[in-house]
Amino acid sequence: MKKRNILAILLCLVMLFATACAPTTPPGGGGGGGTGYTGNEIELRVWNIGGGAGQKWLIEAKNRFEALHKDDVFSNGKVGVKVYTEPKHAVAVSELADSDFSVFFTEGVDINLYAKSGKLLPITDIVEGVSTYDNKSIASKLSNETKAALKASDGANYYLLPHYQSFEGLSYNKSLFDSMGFYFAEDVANYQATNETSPAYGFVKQSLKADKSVRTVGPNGIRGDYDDGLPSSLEEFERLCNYIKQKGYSPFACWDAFNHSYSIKLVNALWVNLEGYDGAMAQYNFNAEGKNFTTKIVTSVGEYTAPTKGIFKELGNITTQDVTINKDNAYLVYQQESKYQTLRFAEYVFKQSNNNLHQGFWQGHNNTETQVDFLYESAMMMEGTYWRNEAEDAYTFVNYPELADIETAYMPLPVQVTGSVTEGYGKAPTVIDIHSAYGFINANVEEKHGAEVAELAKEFLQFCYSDVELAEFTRNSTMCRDLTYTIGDATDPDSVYSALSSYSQSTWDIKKYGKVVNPISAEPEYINNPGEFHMTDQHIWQTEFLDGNAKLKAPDVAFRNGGYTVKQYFDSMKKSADWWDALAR
Amino acid sequence: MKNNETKMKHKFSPFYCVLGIVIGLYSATIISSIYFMFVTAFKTQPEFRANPLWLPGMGRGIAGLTFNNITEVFTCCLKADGIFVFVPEMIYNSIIYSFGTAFFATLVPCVMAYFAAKFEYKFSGLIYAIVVAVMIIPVVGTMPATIRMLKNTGLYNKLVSAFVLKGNFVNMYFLVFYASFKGVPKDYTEAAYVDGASELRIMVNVIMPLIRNAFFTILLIFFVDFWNDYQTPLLYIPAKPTIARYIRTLSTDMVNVYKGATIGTGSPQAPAKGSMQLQMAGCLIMAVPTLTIFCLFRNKLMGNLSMGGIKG
Amino acid sequence: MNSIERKNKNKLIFYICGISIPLLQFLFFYVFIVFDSILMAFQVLDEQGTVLGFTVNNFVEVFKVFLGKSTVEKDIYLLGVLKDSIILFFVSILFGSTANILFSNYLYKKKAGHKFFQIVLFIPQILSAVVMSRVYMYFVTQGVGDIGALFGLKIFSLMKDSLSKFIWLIVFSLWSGFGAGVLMYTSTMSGIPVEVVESAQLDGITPFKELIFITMPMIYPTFVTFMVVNVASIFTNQMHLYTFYGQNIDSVGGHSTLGYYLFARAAMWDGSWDKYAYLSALGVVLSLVAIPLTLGTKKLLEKVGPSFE
Repeated sequence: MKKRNILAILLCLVMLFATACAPTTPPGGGGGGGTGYTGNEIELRVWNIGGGAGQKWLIEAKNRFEALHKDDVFSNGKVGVKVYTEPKHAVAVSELADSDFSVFFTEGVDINLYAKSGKLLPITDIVEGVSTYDNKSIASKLSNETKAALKASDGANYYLLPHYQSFEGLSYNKSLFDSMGFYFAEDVANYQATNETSPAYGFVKQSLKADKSVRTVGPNGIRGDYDDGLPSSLEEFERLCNYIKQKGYSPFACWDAFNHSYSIKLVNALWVNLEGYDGAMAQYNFNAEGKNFTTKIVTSVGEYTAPTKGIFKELGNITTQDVTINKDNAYLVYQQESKYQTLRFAEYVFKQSNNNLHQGFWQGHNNTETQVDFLYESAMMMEGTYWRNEAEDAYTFVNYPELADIETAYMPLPVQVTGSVTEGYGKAPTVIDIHSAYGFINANVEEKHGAEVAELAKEFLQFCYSDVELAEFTRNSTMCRDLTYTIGDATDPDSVYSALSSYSQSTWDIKKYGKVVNPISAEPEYINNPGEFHMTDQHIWQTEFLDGNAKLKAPDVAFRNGGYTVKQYFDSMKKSADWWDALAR
Repeated sequence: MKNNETKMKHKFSPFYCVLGIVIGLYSATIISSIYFMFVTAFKTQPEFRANPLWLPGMGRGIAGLTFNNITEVFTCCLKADGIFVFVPEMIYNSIIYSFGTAFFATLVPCVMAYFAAKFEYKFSGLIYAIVVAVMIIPVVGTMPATIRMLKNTGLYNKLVSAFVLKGNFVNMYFLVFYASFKGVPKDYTEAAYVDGASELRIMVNVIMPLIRNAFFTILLIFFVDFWNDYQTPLLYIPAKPTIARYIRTLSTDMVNVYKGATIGTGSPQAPAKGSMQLQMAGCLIMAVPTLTIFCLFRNKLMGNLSMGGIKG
Repeated sequence: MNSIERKNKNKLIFYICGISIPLLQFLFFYVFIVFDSILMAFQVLDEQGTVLGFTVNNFVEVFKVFLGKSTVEKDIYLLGVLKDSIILFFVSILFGSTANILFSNYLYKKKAGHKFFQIVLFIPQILSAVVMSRVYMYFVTQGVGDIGALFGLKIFSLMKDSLSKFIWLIVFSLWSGFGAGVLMYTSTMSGIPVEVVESAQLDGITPFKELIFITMPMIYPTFVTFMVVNVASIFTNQMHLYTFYGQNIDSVGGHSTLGYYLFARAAMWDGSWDKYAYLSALGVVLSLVAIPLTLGTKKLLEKVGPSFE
């Protein structure tokens, strides 16, 4: 028999055998009668975004909800509740009418588009009504700004509630920082090197790396807390990157993966932190409330060549002016100096000649592989605070058990360009949450599943936003929600804090002590021009057509091959008064 | 004139030497790709990280070798139009789609070519002209109208829609069949008439068997094409996913891919995203049938199939 | 005479019965669809597909998208996409067709390893583009680094930015594009009369000159066919972008093709018909360009081409 025929027959047999081994129906009969269910429960279908906050928080929440309602009898003879959930993609408005899911936890939501679509059930009654689960209303836990933005679609009703907050920016490998002493020292006497030209100058001595009391106060200017020793200025940040390289580690890990949505995390986070909460929010609310603060804008950019070292000892060749942003000049936010300095730092990080700052950046690793790169051999990673949930879903800590004990934390970023923050003169962290993650109920629930399921959907949503469940959400998912709540009990509001992982502690610290920019507002310019302001479209950093037939959406593309300058990028981002006047209102 | 394939003798030629090296390098990339697909499909994730290029086990020893990736591909499922579809059903869809579509895509031009070649009516000339014209004239962007047509006729989301869509005669294989039928001497037909055979009998029992090699070759080519095609099922039959669509989804973004074991538990879970090993395991499963067909029918697939008819 | 008339009548009936179903298929699923596509281009559709009226706005939108000024497709600049499609076409002609002809010539001449190479050159036709794209993506992003590490070199991903991405995707199109072309050219070359070749060799012709002055004229009709198909593919070639990136047009970056854009938008079937009227209008505009271009190319090539005589 010819060899190739034997090979062909072998291949056929392998295929047949493998097919025979595969299941044809799922265990339990496919769709019902699963673990612990009698098959006679009323079913509530919950759509949960894959990744993000993960599945664990919802599975545990639904188990508790099912236990609470296990003896409830419904009019159709059903007893008990079965909450069906599965990881899904970010749902589009157009999918809602035909969907048989009733409750949604998803991301990438333009709240006004969704609220005005008629496809969401009004939930004003459960938001403003007192919940039987914690004797308070959900509205009492929302800030006034958030309430105004959520009701902006018709001025009267709530349709959505904030789901997870994902803080963009950097996570740092705390175990590596601790073991290598990547912390700045307050006094010269405690410096690792006294020669200013040495990369180790300014960093703690190896013998004192565990002693937190010798560290600088960090960006917030408060001694003895979570950010001591971390870089408080871009000047210090540059020195940190050089020191990390000198020690043989890679400063950054980042998944590029042919879109800009990961490298942009550092860019967004740095901008809001340099600008501060009010100035960053002016990007969306145009300071309509007339708050009394000024924003430094760049009126002109001169030609400038950055030095090879000590780039951030200077501010670049710019002319600035202090302005108060209002509804007449809001287009000037695109000229904020904080954006200009952010672009300078982006050029430093992404420029070709500096490409050895990156690990994983060029290698084409996907997001979960980049997380492994980070844990193995990088100091910092450009990611959102959901990354540990992704790593869990990808079985990273099962495949690489040696990585499970590595401590990581969200990294508070510099608050100024030059110098170093001194005690009492820092700023609390400002972070940004661009994921637009929200929970809502499908308007078709009563039509598709009946009035009782509609009531059940509302009850489940209210349950998920009770105090206990909010705390459980943070404990399970390492992430927070944009509501006021504690993670302990009445006697000790932070009682669970010490039991949290270092990463969860770091995100809770930011929520507690910092400010979170939620890029939504009730202003008509914001509501009626979603393509200009909706954060997940990244229009904030969008230039005109510079890159082939596309608009540049993020600095990494512009600077990676050195083809564009900061001046070109910044000038191309600017908006005009005509643009502002032409917006729909 | 002899048109046989005798060997041409040249002195050593730098031209062919360089060309041979280039083709050799190209061949090396193709062979490497197949090798990489095979070895990666059997590696664990840590093994792949430690040893991306060589045989499984050379990084982390026996712990680096696994069949789990293959098992996972077979035990996962795709959610299409709200229904969980498992691998055996996708294989069934693929076989029906590939074989059925290939059969009609081959039969229809064959039959039309027979009528155009053997029946010397003026309309036969028009049929030939239509084929040539349609092949030359590109019409772009008719997908929305096709979807509308299928929905209006109730064919959308049905496997039979592929038979209808692809079962047309306006393709180059019409020309291949046409030339083949033209090459069949009239003597066969006339002898059959003398014996009292009907037109149908002449077509089915006399003429068609003479071009069975071409028919079978084109059928195979179409089968391989449709087995690998994920775009037509994606657009027109989304509720009946094929293996090609499943492997493509597995390889790119894994949206709608779930672990089969968790279906029915009230919270079905997705497999770990984006691992190269899982992608290669999926690619291996998809490549095995076509490679098998290639091994079995290599000579037919690569035979001299030109618009001048079958040779040798 | 009666039996002849009856036989002719039966023959005609058989002919009509035989061609009717394929013709009906052609009329419904080609002619009607083309007309419906043109009609849809002038329609205003709601999300459910109900025709609300007729308009030329879809065509206005098409021209706006070409200029990058559309409000419906804000971030799409189709003139740039057209430019990239044309670049792909010229690269395919220059490198792809040349390689096809050269490789086919090597096989036709039965040079060293031709049987093995014939098999290998056909493998891209057998393996799915999904399979080849996954392996290729690994090698140009991560694999080069892993291979470089063997030699102590630090090599980064070849797909650094949108331009390099575009270049390497074109390379993929060429790399995975062998198969049918080689088969066709080799078949046609094997039809060249041996006597002509032998006579030229006796006159001392070099292999390269033989390729140019004898082989090329002989395979010119096949060459013209492939050229015409390539010209049409300016508007339909997806460059396998959907296989690589799916509907995520953003991931493609600054370079893509018209074929990919059309398919990705059509495949974004989210239940709303309103966008499809614009797509149909785009298809009509592109067809109005493609048809004369293709016919003109065919005429030109046939006019200027060499003749065997």
